[in-house]
Amino acid sequence: MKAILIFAGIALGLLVAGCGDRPVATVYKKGEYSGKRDTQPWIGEPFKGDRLAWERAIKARSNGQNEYSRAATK
Amino acid sequence: MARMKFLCDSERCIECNGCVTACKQEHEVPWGVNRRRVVTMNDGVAGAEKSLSVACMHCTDAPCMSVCPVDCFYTTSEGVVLHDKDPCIGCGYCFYACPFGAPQFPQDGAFGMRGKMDKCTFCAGGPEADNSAEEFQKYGRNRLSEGKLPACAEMCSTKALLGGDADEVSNIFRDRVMNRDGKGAGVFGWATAYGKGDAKPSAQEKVTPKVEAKP
Repeated sequence: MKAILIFAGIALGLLVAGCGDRPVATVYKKGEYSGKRDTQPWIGEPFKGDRLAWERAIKARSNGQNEYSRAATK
Repeated sequence: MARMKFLCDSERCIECNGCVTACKQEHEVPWGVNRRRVVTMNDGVAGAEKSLSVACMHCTDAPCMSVCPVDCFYTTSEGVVLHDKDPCIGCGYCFYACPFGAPQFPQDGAFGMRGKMDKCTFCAGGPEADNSAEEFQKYGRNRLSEGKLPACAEMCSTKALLGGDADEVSNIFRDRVMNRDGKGAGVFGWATAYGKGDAKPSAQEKVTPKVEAKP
């Protein structure tokens, strides 16, 4: 009887041994930005939400880098 | 508005490091951190020496963003790649991924441990209130929100380094290539920007006395 119980215990152990196996394949999740949200550059004080004014200012600055157009306006 | 981009004209860059100095000064970047640097190829080889000013290129598909284990990178609506220093763990994986070596790591702590990553922000600050003390301390000045371009590009004396909206930068460069005469000051655009000069003698010629040969 004792031998049967031992055998049954071992068999049961072997039977459920695979139940603790977890899938090891890596599941890739789409990365989501984890930090704080940033504001648009035109939201702040100098432009007060006026996106077009900000774009005009940036464009004027960009064109200021072109000495050919600067020379033409002299 | 398209995307913000840098462009460095190797024909014009004279390795003056004005851009590096402007960046350091503007953002009070700590010692040992170089958000921008000038790389010279064929250094000392006459006629073959070329310099380029390199920083974060604000990639459209940024590798640093792809590999970051804590996902602290984001792209603004203007195409500027920025990051939040709070979740950053300073692992340095972005440094391995970046083809330009842009991510920098300040020494932090008593034993010179690697601090949180620092890089060029295109003078657009970071995810703190615009132009606040916190933003300046973590990321530097936010010139973009003031309607200005990056300090490095605006300080460039030969206008080798251009920054701004990609369309505008492309137009400037195209204009330049079509107009330059291919050598010397023509490549730098000096005469175009400041005039070809008249027949007046230079200051040195004025003060140099004529020495006549004595018999």
